[in-house]
Amino acid sequence: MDSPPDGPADIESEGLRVAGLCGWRIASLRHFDRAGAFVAEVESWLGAPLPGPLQAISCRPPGQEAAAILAWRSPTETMMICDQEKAFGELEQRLAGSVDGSMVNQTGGFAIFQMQGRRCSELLQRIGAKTAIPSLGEARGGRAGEVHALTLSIRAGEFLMFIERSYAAHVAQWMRVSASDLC
Amino acid sequence: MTSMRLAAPWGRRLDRSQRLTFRFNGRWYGGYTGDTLASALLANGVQLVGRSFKLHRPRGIFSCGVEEPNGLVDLSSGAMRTPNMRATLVDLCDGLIAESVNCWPSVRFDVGALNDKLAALLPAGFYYKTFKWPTWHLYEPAIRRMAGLGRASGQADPDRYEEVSEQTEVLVVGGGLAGLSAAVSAAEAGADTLLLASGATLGGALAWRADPYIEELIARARRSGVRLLTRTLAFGIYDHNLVCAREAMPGAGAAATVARAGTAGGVLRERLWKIRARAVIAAAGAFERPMIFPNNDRPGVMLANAAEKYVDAFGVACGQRVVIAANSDSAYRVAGSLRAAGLDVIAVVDRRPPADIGARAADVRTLAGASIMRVGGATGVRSCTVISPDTDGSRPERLDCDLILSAGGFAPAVHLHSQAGGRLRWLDDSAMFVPEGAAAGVWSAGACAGIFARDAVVNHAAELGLALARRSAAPLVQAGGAGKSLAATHLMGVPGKQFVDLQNDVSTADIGLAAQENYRSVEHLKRYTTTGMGTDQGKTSNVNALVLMGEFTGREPALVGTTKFRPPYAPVTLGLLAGRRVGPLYRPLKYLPAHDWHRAQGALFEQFGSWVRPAAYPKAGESLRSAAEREAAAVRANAGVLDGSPLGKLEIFGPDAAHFLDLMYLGTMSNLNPGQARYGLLLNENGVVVDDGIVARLGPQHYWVNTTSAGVERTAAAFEEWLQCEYTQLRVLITPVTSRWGNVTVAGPRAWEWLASVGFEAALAPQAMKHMTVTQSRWAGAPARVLRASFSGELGYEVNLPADEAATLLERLGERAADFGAVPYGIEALEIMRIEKGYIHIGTDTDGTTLPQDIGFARAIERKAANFVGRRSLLRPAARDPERFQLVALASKDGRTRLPVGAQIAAADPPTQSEGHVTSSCWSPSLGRPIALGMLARGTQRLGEKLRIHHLGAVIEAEVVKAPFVDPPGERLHG
Repeated sequence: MDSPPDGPADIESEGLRVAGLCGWRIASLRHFDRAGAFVAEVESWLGAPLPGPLQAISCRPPGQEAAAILAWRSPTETMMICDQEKAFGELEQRLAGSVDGSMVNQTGGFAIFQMQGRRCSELLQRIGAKTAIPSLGEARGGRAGEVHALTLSIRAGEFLMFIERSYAAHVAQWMRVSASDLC
Repeated sequence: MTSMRLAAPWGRRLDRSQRLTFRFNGRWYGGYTGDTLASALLANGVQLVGRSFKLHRPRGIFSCGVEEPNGLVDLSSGAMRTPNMRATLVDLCDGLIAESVNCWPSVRFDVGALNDKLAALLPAGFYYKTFKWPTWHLYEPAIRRMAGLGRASGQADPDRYEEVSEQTEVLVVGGGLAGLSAAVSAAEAGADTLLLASGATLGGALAWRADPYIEELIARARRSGVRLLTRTLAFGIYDHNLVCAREAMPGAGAAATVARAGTAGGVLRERLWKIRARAVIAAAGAFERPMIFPNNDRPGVMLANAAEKYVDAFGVACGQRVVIAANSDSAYRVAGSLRAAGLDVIAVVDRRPPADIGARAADVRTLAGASIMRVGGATGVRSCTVISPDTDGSRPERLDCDLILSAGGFAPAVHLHSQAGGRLRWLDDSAMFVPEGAAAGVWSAGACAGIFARDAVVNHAAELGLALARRSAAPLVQAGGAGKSLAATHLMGVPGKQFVDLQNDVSTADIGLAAQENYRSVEHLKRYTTTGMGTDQGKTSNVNALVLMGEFTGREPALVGTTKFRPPYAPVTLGLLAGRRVGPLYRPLKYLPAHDWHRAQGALFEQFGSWVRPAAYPKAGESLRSAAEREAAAVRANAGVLDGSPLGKLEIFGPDAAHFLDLMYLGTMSNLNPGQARYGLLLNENGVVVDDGIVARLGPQHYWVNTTSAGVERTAAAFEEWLQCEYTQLRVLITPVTSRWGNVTVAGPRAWEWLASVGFEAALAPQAMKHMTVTQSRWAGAPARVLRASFSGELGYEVNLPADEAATLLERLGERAADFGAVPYGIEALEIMRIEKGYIHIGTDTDGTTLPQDIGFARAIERKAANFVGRRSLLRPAARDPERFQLVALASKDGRTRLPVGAQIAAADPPTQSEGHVTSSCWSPSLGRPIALGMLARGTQRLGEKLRIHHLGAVIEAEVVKAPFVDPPGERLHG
């Protein structure tokens, strides 16, 4: 118990690569309704509509160097990650006074696993339910290694999995032993 | 030892170029790749393979598959030892080691066989009647030693097991003619189709008969994209068409066990498939029903279909001179096959009248209306004696033979259908239970639907596959093709035990006894006689048992019914069910963001809920307790730092956030100004205290809720439930952020000095920032939410930083700790300090009955005018009962004895009526004596009262004292 299982270090095997996605800022965009000012402000910054139910999108906000990935999480929540702190901070500022929504900074609260390769689905089937494996352009909630996970796919053959930070080592270990038995 | 091996083309499953050796009961034998242990034993002329469960009668291989009741063996040794493996399912490998079970000192000479001599004293249910005086427990240990079959290794299983989730439109269970036909049809119609075959190959019973149609079906299945899983046994169906199946990994069974015996490390041995299917087609075939006749359990008596398969697939003649006891037309097909292989089929002893016999075998003598009344031989078959109309009944005929085959008809494998809630109906003509229509989401095909005619099987299965693929109506089942069979096959009034359940030694007499003693229900019959229990779950015995029960009680089999079919269909390993949940993955554990820093400080980690946290930081030679006491003393004297990151954290946002929190908590949160914080108790609708925490207001419609570490998930869930189900008009958003924020709690009289030394702004000084206030600040460029609160009773700061920054702050504080006499402290020290202050710990001092007034919050209830969850329940008479347990402080009279947590408080000795119990207890370093908290009836009115506290037979004198124990005015909180 003294040592947690190894953290989200890279996993490499035939047809599979899993790595921790580092340096991205994470936010929960909470909103009461999609027609409100908060969502309008977010969409204006993104230059794209928020993803609909079970959707995931990636975009480059106009005028920004940043890339953003957004995933529907519930009717009142969209998960967003952004690779540029400055752009992220700008959005935070723009939304600071909102009364019909809230941008909750979750950076550091989640570990993000980036999974690539033709065997991703096989690994996902071994750590969670097949029903929770998203198709391209989807985000699905489910369980991975017995804990809650949000998994999305915005590129063919690639998945991003969000795991609560404190469970990341546990899930990484589950992935590692499962990947070692993929043959 | 006689070789019973037949030359090719018999033995289509064998690779005769690969010769193998194996050891059974200490003796080495030979076999081929493709053999099972059972076929290899039979090929070597080994008929005696085990002893029966109760009577220790000699037993041989009886079947060729999953239904095997007799041929149980323990495989391998050491940690690899695997008990009770059915020899019929163990693939032979070079070096395999197997031993018979349930015999001592050997299978040939077994001391336990004495039981058979005493059989008259051991009828069904004898132990219910016999071992009553003076007490069952006197006999229990000996009975338990005698019970059971194989022996588990007693060591940790070194192998690995995994779980795979799968989804499909059409799932076909069974790789025989029906299953393949259905799967091909469904896949060719475009449905995603998955087929599970329990064997290593496809084709079922026809695979070994060089049937070109099966070859063609297999090829079509591959072409049409049917996903084929062999060695995969579907063992259960659960809600919403979840089918669980066990895949035995190739090379990870007996072979790997042998190769790795005595070595460390494991392999992936089995895979648990959890398959969600829109439609399930059960095509699991049927089991052959044994005939019942005296001594029908002798080695050398076996199922007819099995003997045929041993010839076809394994090239093994199970005997040379064969008598077939028949109640089914299938006996004649088997007779033909065996004759073709060169075996001498002496006679078919058919129980049925001539008119019911629908088939004949050329050149085989048929005795119609005949029965076997005696079997000669002790550990093998030497002869049998037959009575028939031809022999006049009075002059039985002796037939010399070494193999008696049992062809008693068929019992469709209706398990999946029944597990899914499907009903069964009894077919009188062929004496079998078949599915009545379909079960929810499960359709049966082939023999397990009661369809036996080949063309009918193929056509129905194909139509079924097509219909399910197209989501159209399934075709009607026309069961039939099995010919006529009698329901009952036993003989009355002849000597010798006639066995119904071979594995459990249940005889016709036992069934009769159960009926006589009025255990008429088939469920009672099962439990009284144990028929249908064990590793085979009565696959060859159930129908015979219930037919007999019907006969003994004057009922048709349809009225007797069957026992409930429950998963698993066949034994599965515990490893399979555990899957990856072993060792470090046994349960998900949460680790602190600064875990490595704590480890570097020498933390002793323990599990607190799902969190792994430092219990203390013992120095060399220190115990956990002494370390905790040292740490608590240091915090009281100077300062200490605790990693409070697990504290639950919720962001509550929205125009109705204030009103919502008023509804959720006993405390009033709406009148907090931004920057203020308040303690709150969370109740459930029964008024029971389920959590507590601190609610801080960050803005007009923005709150920050700190819950207990263990309670955050249930608190967030409760909030969401109330919002979504009850207070739907409220506009509130709840966002859990526990993992986002690390929490570094600094406490003690020098807490602020210490924090200031690492760069915290002066605005946080105790003079500027009051107790129970919150400030949003920055530290080292990172946002910080600093809360002035204390669970130790000392000046306290809870510094919440982004989780990534927690370790940095701890490092910085650690660098300056010596300057302030400060230490890191763990949960045990925190426990000491909160007990000294009389602070409750939810779940430790409270339980599922504790109301707020029981822990000192009566006035808070009275003061709060607004409604809140649980309020109505607090008005019930029971909630106002003056006898309720109330929180009190306790101290032992002698000032030395620690009061054990859980010890009961009672005036009488022995303690017949509990007046309460000790909930928290510690040695107080501040006071130099033990202190405790407890729940006591009328506790608040009993200050100064002497109590008797009972623990493991001893009585400790104690007293109700005033709380808190330390700093009653609460001055230390303010620095």
